[in-house]
Amino acid sequence: MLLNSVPFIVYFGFLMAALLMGGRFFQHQWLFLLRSFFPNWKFFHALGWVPRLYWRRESSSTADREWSEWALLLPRYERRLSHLVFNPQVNLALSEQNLVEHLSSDIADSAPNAMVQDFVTYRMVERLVRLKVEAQIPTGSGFQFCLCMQRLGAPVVVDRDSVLLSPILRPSHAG
Amino acid sequence: MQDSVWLAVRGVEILAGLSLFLQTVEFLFLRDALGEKGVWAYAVQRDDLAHSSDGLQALFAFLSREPVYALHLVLRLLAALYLMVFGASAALMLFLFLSTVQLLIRWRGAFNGGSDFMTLVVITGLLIGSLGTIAGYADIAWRAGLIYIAIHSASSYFISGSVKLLNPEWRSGEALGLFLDSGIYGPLPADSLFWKRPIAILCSWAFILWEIAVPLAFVDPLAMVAYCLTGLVFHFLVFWYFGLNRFFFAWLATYPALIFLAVQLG
Repeated sequence: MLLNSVPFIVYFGFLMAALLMGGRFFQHQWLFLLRSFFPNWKFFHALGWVPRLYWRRESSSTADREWSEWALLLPRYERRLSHLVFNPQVNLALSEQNLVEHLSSDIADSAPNAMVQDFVTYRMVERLVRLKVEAQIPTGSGFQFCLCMQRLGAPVVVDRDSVLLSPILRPSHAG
Repeated sequence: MQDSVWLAVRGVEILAGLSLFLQTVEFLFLRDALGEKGVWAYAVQRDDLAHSSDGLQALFAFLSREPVYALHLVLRLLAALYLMVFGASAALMLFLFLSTVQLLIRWRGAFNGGSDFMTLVVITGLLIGSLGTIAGYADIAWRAGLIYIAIHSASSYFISGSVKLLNPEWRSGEALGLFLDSGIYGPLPADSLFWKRPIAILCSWAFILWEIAVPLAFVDPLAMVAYCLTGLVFHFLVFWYFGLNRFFFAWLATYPALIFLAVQLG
């Protein structure tokens, strides 16, 4: 009888015990890159803080700098049934959000005097912002992005929730 | 090889091939993201590998060149088709295993989280069977491969359900609405049913109980078939509300192994 099987009960009992006890957290670059070999299977497990990327642009290139309102960078999508078999843009968007989460983790784990702009994740996120917004930036104007931590279900107040503010960036087509 | 083993292996091969094919078509469509001007450009991402040997860095630099990457994906597409039509061989599975690892490293460890993890599990299971066949232990190796896949699949449901069960926000139904609201297809409309407490509690507990019930499904093969059929609905809902289409096919590929293990244990 299956449910009397000792290995069977021990295995699922071990899983539950491990979840209750928690585990150690190992950090190493190769472990991060090869984390698919160590799946934890904890999906959507707890509400918490989610990093969100916001950006704004200079509304003029005059000496008196004026800024637009902060806007959420990564858009939401419309669902379609066909996405079940072909969903590259949504999957890419999910991957971009993961990248933002990795930047947030890198910042949280970094030393106080660390140069965030040297992080791989920061440079990738800057490229992401440039790809998304540069076409909207006239020559001579600048833009900025910031990383905010949003408590799920609560509105974001950029000045309060920001953990990273980029320098003023210029479009690469500005020369 | 016994008929039941052969049937389960063919099921996994066909469904894994389908999953890999669909994933690779998406990767082909997203080549620019890894290209010179993309967010994941190797010129930036190579610093992730700065701690590795010169040889490994040179290998990744070569594999990241845009024509090489495109050729890699085309070969992967053909390999997925071959897997569906002709089944696994050691060379094929070794290629798919190394190809998957390389792709995951290029996407900084994962492109689509859990579906990547499960895809690697399924490929590893088929690799175990294929390598064992070469060594002359086909039957036991394929059984081991199938059991490896089944244990990971069952564990994924059990762990995913258990962490929700241990979380008061999931038990109260609060988490479901907030996750949907912040998801890729969000925000939820103000009049969404998922904001209504009884509906949210009902849905949350349905997910939790179904996920943690997976050990019970091994009692009888028919129970496991029913569990897997419910799983199709579950993964379709996960796709519909969270956009996770790859999860649907990645987990579907494990179902023949789950049923196989239920038959062996039942």
